[in-house]
Parts: sequence; structure tokens; C-alpha cells
Amino acid sequence: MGLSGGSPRRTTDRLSHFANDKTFGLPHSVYFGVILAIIVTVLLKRTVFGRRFEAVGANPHAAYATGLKVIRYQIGAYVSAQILYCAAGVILGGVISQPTAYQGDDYVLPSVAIVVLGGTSLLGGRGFPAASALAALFLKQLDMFVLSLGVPYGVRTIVISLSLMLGIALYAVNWKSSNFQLKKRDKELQPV
Amino acid sequence: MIRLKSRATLVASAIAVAALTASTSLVAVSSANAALPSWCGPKKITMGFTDGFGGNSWRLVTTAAVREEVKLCPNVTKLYYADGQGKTDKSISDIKGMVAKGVKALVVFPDAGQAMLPALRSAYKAGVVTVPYRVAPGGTAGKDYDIFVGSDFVLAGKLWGEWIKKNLPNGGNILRISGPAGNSQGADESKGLAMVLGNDPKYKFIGADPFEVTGWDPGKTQEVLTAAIAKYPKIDVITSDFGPSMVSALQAAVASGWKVPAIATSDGNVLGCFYQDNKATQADFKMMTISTQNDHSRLAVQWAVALATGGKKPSDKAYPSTLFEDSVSGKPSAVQCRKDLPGDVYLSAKMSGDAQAKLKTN
Repeated sequence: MGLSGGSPRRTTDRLSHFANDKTFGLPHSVYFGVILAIIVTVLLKRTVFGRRFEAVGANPHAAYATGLKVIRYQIGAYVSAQILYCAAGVILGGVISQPTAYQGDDYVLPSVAIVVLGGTSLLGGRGFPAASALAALFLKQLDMFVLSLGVPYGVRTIVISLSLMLGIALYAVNWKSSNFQLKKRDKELQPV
Repeated sequence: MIRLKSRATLVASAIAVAALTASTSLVAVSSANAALPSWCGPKKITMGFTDGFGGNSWRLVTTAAVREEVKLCPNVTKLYYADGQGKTDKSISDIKGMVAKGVKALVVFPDAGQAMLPALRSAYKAGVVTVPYRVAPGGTAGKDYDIFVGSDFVLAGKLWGEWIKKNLPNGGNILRISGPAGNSQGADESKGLAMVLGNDPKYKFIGADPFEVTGWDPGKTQEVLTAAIAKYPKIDVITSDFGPSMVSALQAAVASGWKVPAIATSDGNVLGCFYQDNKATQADFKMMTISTQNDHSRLAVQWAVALATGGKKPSDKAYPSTLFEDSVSGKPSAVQCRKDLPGDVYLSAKMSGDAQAKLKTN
């Protein structure tokens, strides 16, 4: 904001080259995304610090009972997410070179869809960063496939919405129950 | 102390002083009025400008053109601006907000087209001089709004078509790219192209009809172009009404070994520099541009101010489409590139490139 005054401008050539140049045939933006996904997965699943975030997300009451400062971890999750969004925005700006002021708006619905497709319930519970990253790749490939078929523009949004519905249906609905009840939270993290 | 000799001399002196004062005032008023454009009438007003989407450099320069034009008329005491951010509901809300603020004149860029008509009608019926421009909102002038200041986009399409016919006489596959789905500009340009090339079987329109939807967004343009390259082995020409939005996509495609086809589009410094950087390595790279028409907003402002302040109405009701650059003929200009300026500058605009480079949002 300080540099651009809030005005949409072209990014620098250096950032553009960094994001678009290739190593071993893959753009650097891909490596950036993969490395970030690995760091987040390792932090969340293999460190005590990350597992605390999972505990708070899966069951705040149980986490509180174990002595965790639930509010701090919840705020920390939002802050961490914002940092990742900013990093993604910088790379996106480099890829596109002339980002508009609302370049990220198109990613609002897909960002929810990929987390759900990656196995995280909308009702809360544990998250799976690696699965979410794979779901992002799948959804983008699906979108590009639909586009290359020449499907009308409006249908592409419907395709993403249908994939979101499928993800919600798979993980949020208890199919074994004849009444199709919504699934309860993970039993292992419920209070005894 | 000077003493006047008689009452007659006193009266004569007073008359002379009064006459001198009156003539001086008359000269001052005449001088001031002479500086005002004819469309700037005597009534004082506040004015609004609502943009359906203000988030790219084209809109930034166009909005700056509005501010510059309004400054020419000091009787417009305040200009309010609102950015619809590409959202129809916000754009509608912006219009209603302007009416609530009490503006007497309103210029609107109705990106959402006919979806904006009820809001425009509401402003018009509230007594606000309402002037939509560039994208047709439907409706009727004099009933739903004062006047629609359009541009002959069919002519723009014809200019592209004639250039394609002249420079690709053996025919080819033409990919058409435009903004949001259903926008009248893209539809009219496609109509113009079809008028020139539609009956000639050598030329084939590929991709979506009447155009591939990109929302004038560089990210979506990259996706569309990537998909088109994957789907169509041979693309001979790309037409686009927002040339700079294609550059990042073209750069990525060139980096992957793709041969750039001929391009017929609107101008932008980044596009001109892309041409200059690649013409040596891309065999037979041809490009032409029409003016990107940043100054279209000035004509809309003139109409709105004239109607609201009692000024003289402009003679033009539409902004002309004109050729700007041609890499083949060099007329009216060869492709221009100013490396000393940012890429998001439009050299066809009335505002100089140096002034555009210094623009901020507010």
C-alpha cells in the first residue's frame, strides 16, 4: 500500500521472473507452493506446537480441559492463514504480473471447496494440509479440463459448486445411518 | 488636498470612476467565462462517478481522466467516486448511495449491463442527471436515464477484421477474447468481425461464441489462453478488447515454446514492449491496436455536467473507435514502447504517460 498507494500496478520484473521461470521444467511458483505445503504439513502433524492447533480445532472444550490457551491458538490459526494468503498473493501477483485489486476474489469459494474435498468437515474437526493441497491441484485441473472442453463460463462455477457439494456429502453426512445424520466429531478427541 | 472647483466636476468624476469600475468588472467576468468549456454551465452542482470495477490500471487512468475533466468546470464543486469491485450488488448500492448524497449528476460505468438498469432508472426518476457510458445498460434514454454515451464497438471489430483480411489474406483461425459474459462491448466487436470475415470460409472463429469470457482479468485470460492452446493446435489471430491483460499469458506461452499469432487488440505500453521484445525471435509477429479509449469517460462527464449545470451539450453522442498502432504499415503509428514508463500506461490517452505513471487511487 505504501509503494502503490492502493493502485493496481504491474509487479516488478524480478518477481515476475521468479514466479514464472522454470527449473527442471516446472515454474518456481509450483516449487513455492509444494514447499509451503510440506512445511505446514510437518508443522501441523509432526510437532507438538502443530498438534496443539489440531487439538483446539478438533475439540476446543477438551483442549481447554488439558490446559491449552484455546483463544490464543484460534487467533494464531487465523493469523497463520493470513500469512499464507499473503504469500500466495505475492506469488500470484508474480505469475500474473498485472494483478487487479480484487485478484483473490475468485479463490474464495474454491478455497473452501478444497479444504472440504481434502477431508476437513465444515462442522469442525481435524484438518489435512497435504490432502487439501492435492484437492487444490485436482480442482484446478478439473477447472482447466472443463474450460478446454469449451464448456460455457457459467457452467464452470457450477462444476466447482458440485465438487464442493460432493465433498460435504462425503464427510459431513453419516451414510451408514438410515436417517443420513450429520457425523459426530472424532471420537478420539471427545471428552471422556 | 485636491479641491474640486464645482459641483459639476464632482458629478463628472463620480460617473467616470463608476464607469471605469464597471468596465473592469466586465472584463474580469468575460475573461473568467472565456476559460470555461462550453459544456460547463452556470449552475453549481456536486457530481458522482460510479465504476463497476475500479481495480485495474485501465480504470485508474480512466478515473483520473474523469477527475481531470471535472476540474475544467469549477461549478462542479465536488466529485464523489465509488468502485463496484466487480460486484453487481455493490455497484447498485453505489448508485443509490450517490443519490442519497444528493449529487445532481451521475456518470456510471455499468459493467453488469442490464442488471444495472433498475438502479439507473431509480436515480433518473429521483431527478439526478444520469449518464451511463461504454457498456449498454438496455432501457431507453429519456425514460430510464438521460443519455447513454457509447462507442462504436462494431466499428472496432470491423477495424480488426479489415486488418486481419489485409495481413492474413490466406485465412486462419481467430480466437476472440473479451470481458465479462454478456458485455455489450465484446458482443459488438464480434459482430463487427463477423461483418468483415463471417462470410469468408477461409476465416474460422474458434473458441466460445461470441467470445471467450475473461472478465478482463489477467489471471482468467491466462487460463483461457492456456486452455485454448491445449485445445486448438492452430491459432492464427487473437483479438482482445483489453490487450495488456494478455501479456502475462503470452509471456508464459512463449516461454513454453509457443509461436505468438497475429494480435488485434487495444493498446497498452506493456503490450507494445512485449512486441518489441519478441519481434526478433517470433517469426512474422504482427500486431495492431486500436485506441484503448481511456478518454471515453471525458465525453460522458461533459454530457452529465452540461445537462446538470445548464451548459452546452456536446455534439458527439458516442466516442470514436480509432486505429492507434500497426506493426505492418506503421500507420497511424508503429508499435510504441516506452521502457522508461511502467507497463500499465496507455500511450493513446490524452493524459501523458509520465502523468499516468504518477497516479494513485485517491
